[in-house]
This record gives sequence, structure tokens and C-alpha cells, in this order.
Amino acid sequence: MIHADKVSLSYDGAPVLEDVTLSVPRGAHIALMGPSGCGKSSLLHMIAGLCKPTAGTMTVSAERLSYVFQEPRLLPWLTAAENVAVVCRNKKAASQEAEKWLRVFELDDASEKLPAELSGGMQQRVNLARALAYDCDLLLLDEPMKGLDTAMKQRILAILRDHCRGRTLVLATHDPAEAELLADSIYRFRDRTFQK
Amino acid sequence: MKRFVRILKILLVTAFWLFLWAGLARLVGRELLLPGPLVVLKRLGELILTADFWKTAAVSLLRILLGTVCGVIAGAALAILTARFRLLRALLSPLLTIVRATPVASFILLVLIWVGRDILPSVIVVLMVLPVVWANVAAGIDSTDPLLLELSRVYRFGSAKTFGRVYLPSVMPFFLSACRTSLGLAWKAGVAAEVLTVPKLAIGRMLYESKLYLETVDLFAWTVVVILCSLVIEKLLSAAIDRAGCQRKGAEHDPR
Repeated sequence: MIHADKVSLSYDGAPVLEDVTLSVPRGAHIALMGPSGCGKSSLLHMIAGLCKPTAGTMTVSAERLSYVFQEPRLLPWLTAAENVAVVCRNKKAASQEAEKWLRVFELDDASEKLPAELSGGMQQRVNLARALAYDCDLLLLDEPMKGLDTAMKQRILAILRDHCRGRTLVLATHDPAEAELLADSIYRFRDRTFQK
Repeated sequence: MKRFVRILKILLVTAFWLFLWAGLARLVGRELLLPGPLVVLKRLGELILTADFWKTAAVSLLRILLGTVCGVIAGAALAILTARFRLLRALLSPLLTIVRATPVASFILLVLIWVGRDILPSVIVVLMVLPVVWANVAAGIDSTDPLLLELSRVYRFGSAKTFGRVYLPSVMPFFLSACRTSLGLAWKAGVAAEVLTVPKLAIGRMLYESKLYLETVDLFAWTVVVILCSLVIEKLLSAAIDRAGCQRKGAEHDPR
């Protein structure tokens, strides 16, 4: 599903990642672990096709990918429900689907609210609901539990574990417990690269 | 109660300026130099009872609105095209700077060589409105959040959906702000063009003739008509915008 061959990335000449080689088969769940700013998000960006490696090749054979960005990236002029519905592929059932996912993330009362009226944690849950509402075969999660309390984290981890069955998952996190729970294999950041 | 206080405030401010105007007119003591508000209002009352007044105002209004609409459409289209094609932006940017820096009187006299006097005010309005809308809409497009554009790529929004869901709401506050500014500009430039070219039916012609025959009261009355038309159109535009619900509270940018 994902094959990175000696992938390097630099911004304005400054190297971020060097010679990253990893292979993620279809249905596998992997976690990228490392301190903040080490390049986890950059690697996810490359997998999503949002930026190109400065060297090496990145091959992704997913039909549809869904992405939980580190920051919620909600459309500020749409309500929570509309933000989820906007990614649904079946237009007719989009609002029902959105309501369903908002309920899953305990946001029933917030569906008609605009992002500016939601707390940071609620915005992050809408971000998660949107990603899960999009029917995908590859799910990219970038620090998905950011801004959530411990009890909520546990419930969401269970939802994610359930949802990711049969899908390929790449999780970027610095929390070992999250990685242990969601991933089959963990890649750790060492010397500007990720190693199993 | 809030509304009452607001209305009272407007009335008090208006009364202050009317009294000041009346006081100054009395001090000058010559209607030819500065007529008082009552005389002007009386003349305005006489004018609005004539069919010619409405015909003149309607034709001027149509001319200026036509120019505004064309300027808005052309400005928005150019903004989209120059945002899409960088080469076009590089080519057309100097033109925008020149149009903005050229005095309206130069344009009026120049364009008078090329087009008829009846259409000239509309052309001048287009030239005044176009750069304002162009610059504002281009700024709106440029300020569209790149993170939201990435989101639209990941979720495969496609061109139409990206335009409708991301670009349009981002640009709308800039566009509406440009429309408001343009209307004021359009009236000033349009009437100025009418004064200089004196088309058959025009508020500008009435202003010119009032000045020519030293009918200062008429000059003031027609100026009041221009101000009132501008205010009414601006209020109508604002009401239309509010009604369409274009200004959602979640919109991030409002350059007003």
C-alpha cells in the first residue's frame, strides 16, 4: 500500500528527513514515533501527496485516503455537521451520515454550531468524525488525541481501533500508549530517519 | 430601546449639521453663495414633482448601475484569471497600477475621444470600479487558507466544490467590501463624468447647468439627490447582503 524508498525531505535546504525507507502492506497499522518537530507530519504529508520528497520515491496505492490533521482544519463558515457532511461521498445520505458520526464522538448538541463556537477539544472531535465519515482504505492520523481529556481519549482509541479494522493506518504520535494500542509495528525516529 | 437611542443619535447629529448649515447661510446672507437648508429642501420638493426630475435621476442611476455591474463582473473575472495564471498577473499588474493612479478627469477627457457622451459615464464607472474589485478579490483569493486547500485536495473536493466551499466563502467578505466601496466611487466618478460631458438626460448635466446659470439652490438640491441616491443604494445593497446570509459569523476575514 505504501512504499517509501530512501525518501528525503528538506525545507529551504535544511534537511528534515533523510533516507526513510518503509513498507506498509495493505491493512497494516503502523505508528511513527518521535519528538515534536522530528518530521512525522512531513512524512504523513508526503504519503498524502501534499508535498514531494526532495529525493527518493514515495509510492502510495490507496484508492481513497482520509487524514486527521494535527490542527482541526474545519471550514469556519460551515457548522460541525456540514464540516463532516462535506466529505461524505453519498450526497443524499451525507447529513444523516454526519449526524451519525457526530453522535459517535458525543457531539450531538454541537452539530449546528460553527467551529468558532466549539472548544479546541470539540473541534478535534469534529476533525476525527470527518475523517471517519470519509469512506477510505488508508487512514492517516497525526496526533489525533491532541487537546482531548483522558476519558475521552480512551473512548476514541476504542472507536479508532474498531474503525481501522481492514484499513491501512499510519499514526504519528509521541504517546507510546497510543502507538501500542493502535499499531502493529512502530517506527521510531533516529538520525533523521524512521527505523522499526 | 437600543434602536430608539440609535435613531435619536442620528436625528440629533443631523439636526446639529442642519442648524450649522442654516447658521452659516444666515451669516453669509446671500443665497447665490450659500443657500440655507430650507430653501434647498423647498426647491427639492418642487423638483420631485416634475416628470423630468424622475427621468433624469432614473437615466443617471441606470448609467451608473450599468457601469458598476460591468466593473464588478470584469474586476472579479480578472482577479480569478490573474490568480490562476501567474503570467497574466505579471502582465496586467502594471495596468492596474496605472488605472488606479490616473486622475478620473484624465480618463473622462481621454475616453470622450473614443466613445459617445451618453455611454461615457458608464465607461468611467467601469474604470473606477474594476481596479477596486480586482484588487480586493485578488487579495481574498491570495488570503485563502492554504491548510483548507490541502484539506480539499486530500478529500478530493474537485474544482467546483473547492471553489464553492473554500474559495467563495473566503473571498466573499473581500468582494462585498469592494462592492460597498465601489458604489460610493461609482456615484462620484459617474456624476463627475456627466458634469464634464453633459449627456442629454443626467444629474451631472443639471449640476453643470445650475452652475452655469448661477442657480446655487438647484446645485445644492441636485447634490442632495446624488447623496440620497447613493445612500439608498448602499442601504439596499447591505439589506440584500444580510438577507442572502452571505456574512456568516464564522467567516474569518472581514477587511472592512
